[in-house]
Amino acid sequence: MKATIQPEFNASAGLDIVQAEKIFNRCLGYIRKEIKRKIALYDPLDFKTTSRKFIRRLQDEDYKVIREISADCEGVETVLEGLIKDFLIETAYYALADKYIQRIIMNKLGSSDAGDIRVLEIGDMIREKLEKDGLKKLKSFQEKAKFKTFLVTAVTHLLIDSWRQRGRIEENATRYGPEFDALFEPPVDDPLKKLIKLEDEDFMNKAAAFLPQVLEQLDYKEKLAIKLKYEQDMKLSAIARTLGCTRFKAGILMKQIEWKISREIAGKLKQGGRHEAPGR
Amino acid sequence: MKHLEDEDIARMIDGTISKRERERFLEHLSGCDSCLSVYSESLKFIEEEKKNRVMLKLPRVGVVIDGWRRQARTFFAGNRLMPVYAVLLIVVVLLPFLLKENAQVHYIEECVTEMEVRGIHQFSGSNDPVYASVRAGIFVEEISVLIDYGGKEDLRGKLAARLFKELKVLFNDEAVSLLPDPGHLEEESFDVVVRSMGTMLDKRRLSGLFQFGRFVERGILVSVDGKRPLAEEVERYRRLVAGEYHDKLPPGVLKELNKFGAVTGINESKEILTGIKDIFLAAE
Repeated sequence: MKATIQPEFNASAGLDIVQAEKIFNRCLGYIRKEIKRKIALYDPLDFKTTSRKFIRRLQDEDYKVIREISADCEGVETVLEGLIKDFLIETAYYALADKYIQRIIMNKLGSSDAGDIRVLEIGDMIREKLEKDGLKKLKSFQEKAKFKTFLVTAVTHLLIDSWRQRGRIEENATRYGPEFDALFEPPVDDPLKKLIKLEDEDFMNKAAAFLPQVLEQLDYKEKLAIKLKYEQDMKLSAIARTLGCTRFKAGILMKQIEWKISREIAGKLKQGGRHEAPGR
Repeated sequence: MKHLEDEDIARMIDGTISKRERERFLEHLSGCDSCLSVYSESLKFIEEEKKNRVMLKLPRVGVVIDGWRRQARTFFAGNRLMPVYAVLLIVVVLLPFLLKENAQVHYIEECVTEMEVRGIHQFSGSNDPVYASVRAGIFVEEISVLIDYGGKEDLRGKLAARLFKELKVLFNDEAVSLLPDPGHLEEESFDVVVRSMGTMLDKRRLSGLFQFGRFVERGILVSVDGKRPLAEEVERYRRLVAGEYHDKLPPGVLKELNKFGAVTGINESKEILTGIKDIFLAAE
């Protein structure tokens, strides 16, 4: 249950130091409780250090933060909650940013050199976008997932978006160079073709031509499972995690879908005059 | 089409999502390549991160240990009795090791004492080289254990004197050159004695019996330590006794050896081998 703090808080104008100190002392328990409740979402921050830092920030310059609480706020509790959230986001971001942004880019580039100029350039671009308007993008975090996961998703999103926008924004293209374009270049061969494995190349091409039609007939879950396995090259455990089932069930589902596709293609080939069933 | 929010994708990855929402998100992902790429790339990174988590947590273990160390230091700091605590701790830790005597040495000591109490000075078949060879093997094995253990010079001396008697039976005057000073046996000199004995016994075709004696005593000593003699070794000597030495050795030896089965227990092995040993160390 949330602590209710409704002191004789008169927010009609700025507070003086004595009032601010009073509010601060009264809210200390609430601050600690709130940070303790939220800290698990902000791995790798720890409760002791973070709460100490936040309290010190409130005390700085004669409780400047508390004294500057805007006049139209509903109550100290709401303001503090926002302050705590922003503080946690900021601290967690600076604790994770360097390592995470760099590693996500290195993974993408397939580079093990952290000093690679491309890694540094793209890293700067990502950081610039994230830190725009006082971490505005990150501060939209609603605390429904772990901040670390949110940060990874946001960074990955920015990387992918930058590539997509490249065609439209010429400035970016010259700035980040041609290596950046190659980052998300789709593979030349259609990975879904891996579904069909036949010895006869002509026959295989015919079967592959039916594939898009067959995939269209699948329901959204089946289609997603096939995409995850063949397009995104995901492991069975990751597919199971996505579908929200066990690894065993995901394995059975994959087999069933693959059989379904084989059967459909075999039927279509049969209609086309060939009688052999496509193998998997 | 409205794309999924970053936080929605993060929730999918973390699994903090309701069933209904999941279905909605899955439907979106199946038709939106943009969100699917973000999702799959992020998931792959997070999974990889999980694998490395053990390594990342290691410094935290260090922090915990540091905390304990600090607490211990605070406890002992300024405590005048700390050296006493330290000595007591060392004594408590080492006490079991200090008190524990080697079981094999204890067994040998018991055997020698028993022979002395019973006043056995002459063994059965005292002038028979066959008996003497087996007994020499038994004594050599016992002396080897004592040398390895260190100390117990008096016990070593008593056994060496008995070994010397057997050597006299086997090699007459040459025994003196083999074992000139039975009272002072050292590891290196004893190795030379054993090697020379082996060569000389080989010439007399008695080295098999000498080895048999060693095997019997070794078998008893390992069973004292809670182990079983090797089955192949038992089988090898059973064949030797049944074949080459069938007429030379007393019939009781083969009878005892035949008691060895595939699943003979430690105590049973010890009893069988002690039975064989008693045949050779019986009073005349």
